[in-house]
Parts: sequence; C-alpha cells; structure tokens
Amino acid sequence: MQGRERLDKNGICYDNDFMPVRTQRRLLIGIAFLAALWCTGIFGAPLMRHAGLGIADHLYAFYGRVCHQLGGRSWHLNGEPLAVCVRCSAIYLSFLASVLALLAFPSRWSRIPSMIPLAAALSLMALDAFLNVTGIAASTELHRVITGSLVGALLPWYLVPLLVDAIAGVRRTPRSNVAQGEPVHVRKTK
Amino acid sequence: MFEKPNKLRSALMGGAVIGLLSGVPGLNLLNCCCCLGIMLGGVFAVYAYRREFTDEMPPMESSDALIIGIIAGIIGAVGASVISGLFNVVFGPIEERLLRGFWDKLVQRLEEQGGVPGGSVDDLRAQMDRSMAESRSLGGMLRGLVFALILYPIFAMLGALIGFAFFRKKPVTHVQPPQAT
Repeated sequence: MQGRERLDKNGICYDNDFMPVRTQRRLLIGIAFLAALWCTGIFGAPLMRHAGLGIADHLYAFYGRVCHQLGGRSWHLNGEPLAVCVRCSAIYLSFLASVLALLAFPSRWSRIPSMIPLAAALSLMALDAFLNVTGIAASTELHRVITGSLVGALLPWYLVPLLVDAIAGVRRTPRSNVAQGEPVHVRKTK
Repeated sequence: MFEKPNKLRSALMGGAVIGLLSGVPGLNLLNCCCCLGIMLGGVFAVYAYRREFTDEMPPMESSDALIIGIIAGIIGAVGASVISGLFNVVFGPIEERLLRGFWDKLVQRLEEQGGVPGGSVDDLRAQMDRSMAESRSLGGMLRGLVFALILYPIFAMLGALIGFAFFRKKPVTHVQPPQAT
C-alpha cells in the first residue's frame, strides 16, 4: 500500500502507511480465517445436529441472534437447515470469496473505492426485502441469492482497507500525541 | 490544535440506539436482516461523533470509528439484554406474542406458496416454542447476553466503519508543488 497521503491545513503530510505490508497481509489472512470460521459454523450446525451433538443447539442459538433462521427460507444439509437463511448465507459466502480474492490481488485494496456501488447494492437488497414484506412482489430464492451475494462480495473491498487503516491508526499513535491531536510520523512537504 | 471530541458520548448514543433496536420487541426483528439494527447503531455513533468535529480539530480517522463501534456494541449488548429483560418482567411476553403472530403468518404464507412441506410446519412451531421458553429462563438470558457481547461489538464496528466511509471528509490528494525556477 502506498500513496495514501493527505495534507492538513498546515501543509503537514500525514502518511497512513505505518503498518508494514507483511503485517497488513497477516491481518487480511486473519480476516479470511475469521470469515472462514464463521462460514464453517453455518454449515457445521446442521451437520452437528444430524450427528446428534448437543452443541448444535448452542450454535443455532448463536446464529439466531443475527438471522431469523426460517427453515423455509434456508438451504438444508442432511435434512437440517443451515444456521442462517439463504440471503445471509449468500452474503457470508460471497464475503469470504471476496476476501480470498483480495488476498490474491493485494494491490487492489490500497484505496477505498467509490461508495456508489455499495450504496446501490444495499439499496437493491433493501428494496427486495421491502417489496416482499409489503406484498408488492414476492422475493424468490434467486433474488435473495443475487442481492445478498452482491452486498457480500462488495463489502470486503471497503471494509478491509478501512480495517487495516483503523488498526494501523490505533497502533501508530501514542496517547500523549493523540491528546495533542498530532501524528507521530509527520514529514513536512517540500 | 484542538483535541478530538470525546468518543464515549457518541458511543453511548450509538449503544442506546443498538439497545433500543435490539431490545424492544418488534423493533428487534430488524436484526433478522443481518444485524441491521446493530449496524445502524454503529453508523449512528459515527455520525454523532462526526457532528462534534470543528474545523480546528484533527480529522476523524478510521481508528476512531473502530473504537467507537466496539464500545457502542458492548454498551448496546448490555442495554439490549436489560431492556429485553425489563419488557419480559414488566409487560409479560409481548415479544413472544409479536413473534408468534409474525411467525404464524409467515409459515401460513410459506405453506400456501409451497415454500415449506406440510409436515414440517408442526416441527417449525415446536422449534419456535422451545426457543421462546428458553429465552424466558435465566440461563437462556445469560447465554443471550454472552452471545450479544461477542456479536454486537463486531457488527457495530462494521457498521461504524461503513458509516465512516460514508461520512468522512474525502482525503486531500498529495500534489507536488511546482519547482520554483
């Protein structure tokens, strides 16, 4: 990552890239691992329930905090519903795929893209849900997969640079300098 | 240069939004849509923080949003559990009635549309009854609080970062000044 510099009113150049590239890559691998763990839980819950393991109920309860888990709106594995519905599954699986794609193309996450594609994808998903709830147009499984996948695939391209930048920001500035509102590493522009 | 505004106040406001959207029966159905209520709380916390900045202050950074989101999520998790518990104690199982009404309508519609096989409807209702009974027990409430303390900070942080991306000032591009001849 390079070139993410900005000038304040005093002409001081703030360089955001205080986190070594290797650390950034490790952070991305950590995000990918967590996303994979999350998706494993989604598929693990029905498998565990099928196997008669008691922990499956806890796993369903855990994911129940973030999803309605309606059986009719979920994919099934071994006759048991996944831990989240179709739309959520599409979001999380495409999120994981997108994070893995970012790992393959590290140069693509140096900047936060325009917010328009994300806003459009979120609006599309909200519209689909709204039309379904109001009874104007039924949301089919295909609609839910497409709108969910779009949002899930786009999110990492925004969240990963923001997360890397945020963690770098937390790491780089000692409290005393934060209090004075001044960055530690500054260099005067020519 | 002036100091940045206090993060705790904005985090408290965001946490209050999360607590209300996740603890009040009916409103908490928002969270069925990928934790929408929690993420909105994170977005609101960053929005409130952004409004406190003046021109003299250093710009808001993504690390500010990260910290605010996590704190708002923790406050929201505790707040939602308290509000939900209060509703259970004071008003009785309103949430149960609301959810059951919603559930029955949805299942009925799904059954009519052929979305669920006829035989599985009774299983779904039994599963609903089990989860309702569990949410009223102390153990179930404690388990819910633990799950909320894990999930809410994560989703509130994601919401705060998305909010930061929307509300931040666009960074100034570094342009090399022309050399004086």
